[in-house]
Amino acid sequence: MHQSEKEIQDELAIIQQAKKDPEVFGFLYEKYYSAIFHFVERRVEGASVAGDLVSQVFLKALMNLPGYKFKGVPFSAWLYRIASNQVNEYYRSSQRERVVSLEPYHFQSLFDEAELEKPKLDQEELLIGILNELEEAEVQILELRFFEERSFKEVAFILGITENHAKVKTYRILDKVRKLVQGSVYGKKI
Amino acid sequence: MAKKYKLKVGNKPTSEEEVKQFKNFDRVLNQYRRRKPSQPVHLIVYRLNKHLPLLILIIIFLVIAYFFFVKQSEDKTSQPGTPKSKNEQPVSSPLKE
Repeated sequence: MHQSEKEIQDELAIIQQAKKDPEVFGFLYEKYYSAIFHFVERRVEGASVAGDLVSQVFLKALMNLPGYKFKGVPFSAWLYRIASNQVNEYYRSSQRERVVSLEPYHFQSLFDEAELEKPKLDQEELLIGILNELEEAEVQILELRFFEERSFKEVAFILGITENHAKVKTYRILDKVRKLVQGSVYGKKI
Repeated sequence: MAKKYKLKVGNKPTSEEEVKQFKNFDRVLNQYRRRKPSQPVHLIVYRLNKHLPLLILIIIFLVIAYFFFVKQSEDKTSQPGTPKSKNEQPVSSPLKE
C-alpha cells in the first residue's frame, strides 16, 4: 500500500485526467480492482456478492471523482472508504450476519496487543464471544487495525474519523477485550 | 445471546483468475453514462463560499444605494412647508399679519 512521492504524483495526474475523461478511470480500475475485491470478500459471504458490491464501489468512485481531493493518503484509501461504506449499506439493507475474516495468527497478535497471555480456552469460541460483545464500528476498527495491519492514519481515513479518535477508540476496544478475556478466563460468562 | 458475527478463520481468498471473471469496466462505464451525475451539492456550496464575501459587499452596496436614491427622490418631491399628513397644516408666515 505504501507509495513513493512520485507514484502519488503520477496517480494524481491520472485522477485529474479521469475527472475530464471517465475512460481514463479504467487504469485505476485495473490497478485496484483485485485489492478492493479481497477487501470486500473478507467482509461478506461469497465471491459473487463481493463482485456485485465491488462494481458498485467503482461506480460510486467514478460518480464522485470530481469531488476527490488528495488529503495525504493514497487514492486506494479513498476506494477502501467507499468499499467500507458499501459493505455497511449491504448489511443494513440485508439484515444478514456480518462476516469477519481472520487468520489463526491474528488471535495471538490481538492478545499480544491487549497484553494478555494466550488463553487456554478455545480461541475461536472465545473470539466469537468477544466480538459479540462489540459494536459493529468497534469490530471494523479491529479488522482494519489488527487483522489487516493498517496504520492509524489509514484506519481513520477509511472510517471517516480523526487519527486521534481512531487511536483512542482502539485503546478503548483493547481495554474492553482485556476485560472480556479476563472475565471469561476467570469463570465470568461473556 | 444471538450471534452478531460469522467468523471465517483461515479461508482461502478467491484466486486472481476467478477475480478476473468479475472484472468488467465497460459495464461500470455504461452504468456511469446512464446515471449522468448532477453537480454535487458540496461543489456548489464550495464555489458559493469562494465568492460569498464579494456577493455580500455587492448586496450591502445595493442596499445603501437604494436608500440613498430613495432619500434623494423624497427630498426632491417634498417642498418646504408642504404638509406631510392630513392633520398637519401649512405654516403661515408671521410677516403677512
